[in-house]
Amino acid sequence: MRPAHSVLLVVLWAHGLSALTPPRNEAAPPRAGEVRLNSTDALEYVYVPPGAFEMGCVAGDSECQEDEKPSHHVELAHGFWMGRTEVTVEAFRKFVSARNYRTTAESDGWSRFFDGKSLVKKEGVAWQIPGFEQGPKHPVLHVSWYDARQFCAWAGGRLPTEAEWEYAARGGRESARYPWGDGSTPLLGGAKQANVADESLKRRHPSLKVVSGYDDGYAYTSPAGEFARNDFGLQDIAGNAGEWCSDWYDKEYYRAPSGRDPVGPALGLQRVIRGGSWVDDASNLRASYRVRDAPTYHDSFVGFRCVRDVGP
Amino acid sequence: MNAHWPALTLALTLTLAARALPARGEEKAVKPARPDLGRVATSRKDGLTYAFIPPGVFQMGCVPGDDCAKDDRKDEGPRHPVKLARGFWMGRTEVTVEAFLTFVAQTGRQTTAEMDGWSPLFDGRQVVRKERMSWRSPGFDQGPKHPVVVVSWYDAEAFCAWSGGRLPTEAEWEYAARGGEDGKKFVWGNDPTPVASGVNQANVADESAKRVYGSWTIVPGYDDGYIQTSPVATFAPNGFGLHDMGGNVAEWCSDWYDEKYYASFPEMVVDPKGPGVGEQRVVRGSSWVDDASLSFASRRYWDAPATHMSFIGFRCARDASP
Repeated sequence: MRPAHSVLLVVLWAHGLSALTPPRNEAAPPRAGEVRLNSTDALEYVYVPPGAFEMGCVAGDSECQEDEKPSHHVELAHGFWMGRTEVTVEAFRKFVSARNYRTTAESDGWSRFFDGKSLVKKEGVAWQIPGFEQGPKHPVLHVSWYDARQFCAWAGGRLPTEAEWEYAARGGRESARYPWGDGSTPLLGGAKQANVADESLKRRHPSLKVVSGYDDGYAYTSPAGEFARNDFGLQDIAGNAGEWCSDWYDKEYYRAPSGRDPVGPALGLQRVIRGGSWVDDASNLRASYRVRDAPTYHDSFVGFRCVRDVGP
Repeated sequence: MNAHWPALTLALTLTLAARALPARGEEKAVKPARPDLGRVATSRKDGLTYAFIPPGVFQMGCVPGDDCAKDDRKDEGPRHPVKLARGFWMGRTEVTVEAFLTFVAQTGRQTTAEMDGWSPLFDGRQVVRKERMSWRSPGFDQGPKHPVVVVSWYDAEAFCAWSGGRLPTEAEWEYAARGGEDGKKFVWGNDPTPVASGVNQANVADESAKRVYGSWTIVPGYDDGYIQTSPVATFAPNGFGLHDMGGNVAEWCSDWYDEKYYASFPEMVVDPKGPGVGEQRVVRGSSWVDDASLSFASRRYWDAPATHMSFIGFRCARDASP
């Protein structure tokens, strides 16, 4: 096992020697749903226990796309800590000031802004100037995969793999079509489950397709954590902002996946985005629905959340 | 005040005086008449030396008598007057591996290639995707004084901002590359072979490279002694005291690329900065993989800003003295 050991050491070295310090409070394994505050980004992380699930299309889903097939068994051997919500504007501001960081959109000098009909390239749009009002607790937008990855590294974590994301999104409801269940309206026991394309959005932009009869109260983003928690204690998994995952996207990856802790293909041109956003109606909010874009991509819809292998 | 600069100024003045001799009786080279020309200063942040580039007017684009009618060179016309109203400072060399290492150590930045986990490797015939290729392991040996490669436009922009500068605009780059010699065809002069007064001028695709990459088009009969990159400033400086403006590595500029950009100026343009929106960033200068045809002083190239290649690097410009 010596070769494996040396590879591990190199990886740890590459991530900084702080990774070698023993985790605190890990004598007893964390409970599922345990919440801890990360002092670096000031966000809460929830413990997601190890487990197995069926990834991809659920039976009877007529909207299922080719790249979601076939559904396959995936085992996640290790528990992980996942951001309870998407990364907020105020958390991102901490990162930017700590690292004197410039986002891809700022370097580009423009971003893709949703004008009510389509995405248009607009000069000056960036995470702090998103083109519509966002408070400090709203999910950060106009961030590329590179921005997201560097934020998570700063916060002591990484982006979730696509498998971790879908496992976490299902929250134990393995065969459900949507993260909140099987009904196409994000309501459960009368409680609103997600900020999606709804009647509030339709009042601003009447031509948009929305979940009809559902009003979550927000046309665009909502503060993170406004809607119900799933069975793992996570919020805004569906809707609000789409979420970057660490994997390269390959439309045929499910045909020959790794059944245990899959990390996606080694090479690619586009990164996986999951979860749908405030502009998506039900079909794009399905738990198995896959989106992808170039890692430089930034727009009014896509944000991210981080995971950590070790609790904060 | 930098204690070295009087000596460097003297050295540069001598260099400039040597270059001021009319070459083959055609264009007159720049005269070091301005007192500010020849000023150099070293940045304490990145450890690199910058040369002062005086304000001026020059003719940008395809020079008369050069064949820019072909499709792949149409973007070099029309030739148009450009005024650079303020002087600026330009890296005398491309950013080195050791300077980039300082930047990474201080900022914790991961490069685009490191985050991608792979990079396109030019193996001499075609571009193949190679895993774990990055500025730290570009696929060939590099010393600390070699120009950093496998860096994206984003990496380059972040480095320059960290060191107190910015990337040069495309106009600044061409003005600096011409080194005061407006009408020259190649970065090093009018001869496709980069030799002037018996001195090698640039690290390009040469006989050394051909011994390894047999299928390459090279500058025939020219041997600069390097297969891939060479230490910066191995070759002669131009009239502004800048090294490796042709050859070694191609260089990111700050502008978005637009093939029709030059046609948008009916008269003299002042301090052009490129279009406001785009998908590709300008790359200028040739590299160790290029023969003379990529070394025209007006030659334009471009790539997506997230691209990282083993023949593209950069140098920084600054508005204020380091």
